[in-house]
Amino acid sequence: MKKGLTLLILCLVSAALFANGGNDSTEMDEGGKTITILCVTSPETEALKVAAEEFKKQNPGYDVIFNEQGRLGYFTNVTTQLVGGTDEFDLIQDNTTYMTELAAAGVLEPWDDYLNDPALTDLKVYDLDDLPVKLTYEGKIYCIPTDLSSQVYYYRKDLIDKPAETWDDLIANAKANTGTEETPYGAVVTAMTGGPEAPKIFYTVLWSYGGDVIDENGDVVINSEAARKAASVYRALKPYMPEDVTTYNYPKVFDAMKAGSVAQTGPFWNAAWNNLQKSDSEFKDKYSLALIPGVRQADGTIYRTPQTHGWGLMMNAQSKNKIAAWKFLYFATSVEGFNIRGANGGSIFRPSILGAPENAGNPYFPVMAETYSLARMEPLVPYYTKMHEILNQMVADILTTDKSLDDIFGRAEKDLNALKSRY
Amino acid sequence: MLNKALAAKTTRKTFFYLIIFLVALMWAFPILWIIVGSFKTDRMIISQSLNLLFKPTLTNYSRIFSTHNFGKFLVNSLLVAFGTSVIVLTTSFPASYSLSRYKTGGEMMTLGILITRIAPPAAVLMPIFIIFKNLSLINNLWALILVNISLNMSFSLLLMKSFIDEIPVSIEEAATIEGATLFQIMRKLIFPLARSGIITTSIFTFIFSWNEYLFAMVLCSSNRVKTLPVAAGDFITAYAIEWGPIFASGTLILLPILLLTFMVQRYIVKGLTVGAVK
Amino acid sequence: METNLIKKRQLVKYYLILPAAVLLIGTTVIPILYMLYTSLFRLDPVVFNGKWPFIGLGNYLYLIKNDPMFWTSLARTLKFLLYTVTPQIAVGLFLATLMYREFKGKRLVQTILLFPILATPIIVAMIWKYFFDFDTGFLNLMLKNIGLQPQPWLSTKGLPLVDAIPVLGPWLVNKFSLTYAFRTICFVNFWQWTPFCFLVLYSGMTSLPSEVYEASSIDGASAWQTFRYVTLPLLSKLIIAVVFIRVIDSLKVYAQIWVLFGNAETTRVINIHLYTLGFTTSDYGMASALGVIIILLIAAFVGVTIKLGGKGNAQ
Repeated sequence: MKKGLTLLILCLVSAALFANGGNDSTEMDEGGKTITILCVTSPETEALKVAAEEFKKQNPGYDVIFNEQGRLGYFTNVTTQLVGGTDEFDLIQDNTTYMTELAAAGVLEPWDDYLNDPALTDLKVYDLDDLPVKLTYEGKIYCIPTDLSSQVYYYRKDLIDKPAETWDDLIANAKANTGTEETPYGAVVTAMTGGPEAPKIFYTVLWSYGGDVIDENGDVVINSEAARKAASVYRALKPYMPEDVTTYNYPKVFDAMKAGSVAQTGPFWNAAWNNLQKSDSEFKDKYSLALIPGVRQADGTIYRTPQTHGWGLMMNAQSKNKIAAWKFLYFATSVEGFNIRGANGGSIFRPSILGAPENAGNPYFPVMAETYSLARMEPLVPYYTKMHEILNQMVADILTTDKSLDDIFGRAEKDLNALKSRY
Repeated sequence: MLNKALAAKTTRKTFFYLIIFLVALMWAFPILWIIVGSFKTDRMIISQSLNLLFKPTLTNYSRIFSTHNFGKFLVNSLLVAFGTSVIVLTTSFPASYSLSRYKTGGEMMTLGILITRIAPPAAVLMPIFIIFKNLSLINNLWALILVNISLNMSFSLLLMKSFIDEIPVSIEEAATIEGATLFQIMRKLIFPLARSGIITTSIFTFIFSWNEYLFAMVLCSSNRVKTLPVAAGDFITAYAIEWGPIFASGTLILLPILLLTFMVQRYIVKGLTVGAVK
Repeated sequence: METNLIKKRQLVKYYLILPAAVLLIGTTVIPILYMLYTSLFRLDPVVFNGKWPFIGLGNYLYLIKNDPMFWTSLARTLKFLLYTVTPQIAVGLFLATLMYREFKGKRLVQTILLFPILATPIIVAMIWKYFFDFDTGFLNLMLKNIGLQPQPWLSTKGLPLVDAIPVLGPWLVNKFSLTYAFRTICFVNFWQWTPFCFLVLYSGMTSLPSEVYEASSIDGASAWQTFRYVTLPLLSKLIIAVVFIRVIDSLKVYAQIWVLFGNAETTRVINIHLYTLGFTTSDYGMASALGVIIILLIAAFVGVTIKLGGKGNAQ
C-alpha cells in the first residue's frame, strides 16, 4: 500500500517534470513570433521593455518575453547558458566586453545577413553610420549596443563650486569634504573586488596618464610609470573613501548618492543620473554631473579618457526564432527605438539625438555628448574574463595592502604575460 | 548555613537559565527578525529606528509572487525536492536492507560510499555541466534531480542502514519460518518498523534538495526552471539590494523547513547518534 | 532446501542494491572520471564545440606555478578551516555539557538549535549580510543606539585590536587573515554549524554509560574534573569524527561566501576559486585540474586521519 502510494507519486512527479522539464520552451508559438530575451534587472532593461511594448503594437502577433535575472553572477550565467547550448533565449543582453569570447565560441549569430536583406531591413532609414559603435569579430557584426555606459563625475554642487578637472582637484575636494556634517565621505568609487566594475574605473585613471594594460601590438604594458601614477591617485583617495569601499559595487555607490553621504564620486556610470532623477532621494537636486577629471597636459588642456562599454542585445546562434528576433533588434536600435528607450531611462548615444535642439536644456546631454566623443573601450580579447581577474587582484592589492607598486605591477605583468602565452 | 547553600544554588540556577537564554537568543533571533521583517516595507527595514511596533504589510509577498513569479519557482523547488526524495527513498531502502542484513560488499562498500561524499561540489560542477550539456539537459529539472540524488544517496544509505540495524533479525527469522517471502518481510515488517528512520532520511533528503544552490544556479538559471534559492539570490540586483523581497523570499524558503524541523526533531537526536559513529 | 534459499538470497542482495548503486556510481564516479579527462585539455568556450587542444599536465603546472590565487586561496582555506572548526567543536562541547540535564524548555531549545543546520545556506548568508551591513544593518543600528561606533563588519580592514599593535599589527592581519571580512565568514559558518557539533556530541554524551559518572562523583571529583578526565576521553573518538565531518563539509562552503563577498580575492577560499576559474573566467580545463588537486588533497587528509584514528571512520 505504501509502495503503491510511492509509485503513484513517482508517476505524478515524472509526468509533471516531462511536461515542464523538456528542453523546448513552453512559451514558444508555432509561427516563431515569440521571442525571449535574457536580461538583467536594470534601468536599461526597463527602457527596453517600453520599446518592446511599442514594437508589439506595431507588429501585431509578435510577443516579447523578458526573462530577468539578478546581477549576482549575471555575466557568468549568460556565458554558461550560451555555451550550454540552450535554445531557450533568442536574444541575450550582455556587455560588449564579453562579445569577442562568445563570438569566437560560435554561440552568437552574426547580423550581416539580416542587415543586408532588404525585406527585413531598410538601411537608409536605419542609418548604420549614425551608430558610432558596431562590434565585429572576424569581419562580421555581432552586436550593436543599445546602451553605452560611460563614466562621468558626480559632485554635490551645494558643497563644491567648481567641479574637479584633474585628479589632484578630486583629491583636494575629497579632503575638504570628508567627515563634515554634510558628508562623511569626500569620494567613492566602485572598488568591489572580484566584480566586473573595479578594474574599469582604474582603466579610466590609467589611460588618462597615457598608460594601458595591453597596447595595439598586443604587448603587456601594465608595468609603467603611468600605472604607478594611477595607483597613487587611488591610494591618495583612500582615506577619504568609506572604510569598506572594497564592498562597493554600483548599487552601493548609488545608495550613497541617494543618501547624500558622498561629496563626489570618482568616475561613475552615467546611468546613475537618470536613476537619481527618478528616485525619491532628497539629494537628487543637490548633485550635478560633469566630465570626469583627467590629466593636465603641457598645453593646458585636460586629457580625459572615460572607460566605456556597451550593453547590447546579441542573438543566440541556437535560437529558433531568428527572424522575429532580428525584427526586434532592428526596432530597438533604430532611431525610433533609441528615442523611446532614451525617454524611459535608457542611454542615448546616437549623435543625431544628443545634439538635437530639443535636448539642449538638460545638463546631461552636453556632458554625455562630449563624454561619448572621448569614449574608450577596454581591449576586446577572447581571454577578457581572465585578464579581468588579474586586474581585479591588482586593484585589490592597491587599495587593501601596503605592497609596493613595483611588486603589484610586476606581478600583474607576469600574470598577464603567462595568460597571453596560453593563447 | 542552609540559606547560604540555597542562595548559591538559586544563583547557579539563574545563571544557568541566563546562559540558556542567550544561547537560544543567538540562534533564534536572526531567523525571527527576518520573519518579522518580511512584513515590513523596505523603508522600515533600513530606517535607523528599531520599528518594533509597526503595521504589518503583505506587499513584499505580493511582489515576489506577482512581479517576480515566485509561484513558478516554488513549484520547481517542490518538484526537485519531491522527485529526489522519492527516488532516493525507493532505491536506498532495499539497498540499505541489503547492506544491513547481508553486509553486501563488506567494509569496502562502506568505505566506497563514504568516498563519494568527499568531492567538493564545485569540483564536479565542471564535468557535470559538460555532461549535461551533451545530454541536452541544461535548463531541465531532471538535471537537478540527478545531481541531488548524487549528493544525498550516500547519506541516505548509511543512515537508513543504521536504522535497519536496530531491528532484531529474530523477527525476520520468525516470519521466514512462517513462510513469508523476502519482499513480504521487507514490505510488511521492516518498512513499518523502520518508519522513524525512513521519515528522518526522507526529510533530510527533501531539505537538502530544497536548499541546493550551486548546481541549481548553474544548470537551471532560466526563469522557467529556476528554484527558490536561486531566485532569492537574484535579489542582489544590479541597482539596489531590496531587503523587503529578500526577507519575504527567505521566509518563504525557510517556512517548510521550519515545519519539517518540528516534525522531525524527536527523531533527530537518535538518528545522529546512530548514524554518526561506526 | 535451506541451502537453496540461502543461495537465492545471496543473489537477491545484489539485486536489492543494484538501482542505488547504479545511481550512486553514475552520478558521482563518472563525473569524477570525466573531470580527470577534461583536466588534460585547454578547454574554454572558444574551443568548446570544436576540437579540444590536449595539453597534458599544462593546467596543473599553470595552477602551481603561475596562478596567483591558487596558493593564496589554499592558505586561506586552511586558515578558514582552523578558525571555524575549532570554535565549533569547543562551543559544541560546551553546549552539550550545558544541555546535559533536564530543565524547563529543553525541547524548545533543542529545536531552536536544530534549525540553523537545516536552514538554506544562502538564506542564512543573506540574513547575516543584512545584520552586518554597515549603514543599514541591524548590528550597527544597535551599536549606534547605544552610542558605540558602528563597525565595518564586511570590510577588509584589520581587526582593531590587532591592527593597533605597532609595527607587527598589519603583518599579523595579513598573515593570519585577521580582517573583519574573514572573521565574518567564519562567524556565519560557526553560527550555522555549531548546533550540528552540539547535537552529535550531545547524543554521544547521552549514550555514555552512566556508571562512570556515578563512580566519579562517588570519588568526589568536581564537575570540571569529571569532564576532563572522564567525559572527554570517552568522547574522543566521536570528537575526531565530528572534526572530520566538519572539515570535509567546510571545504564545500560556497553559498555563504558567494552571497557575502562574491568573487572577492580577499575572502577567496579554494572552493570559490574553483568556481571563479570555471565559470567567471570560463576556463573549464583549469577548473577540472583544480578539482582533481582538491580531491587528491582531501583523499590524503582522509588517508592520514584513518591511519591515525584506527578504525574511527564516521559518516
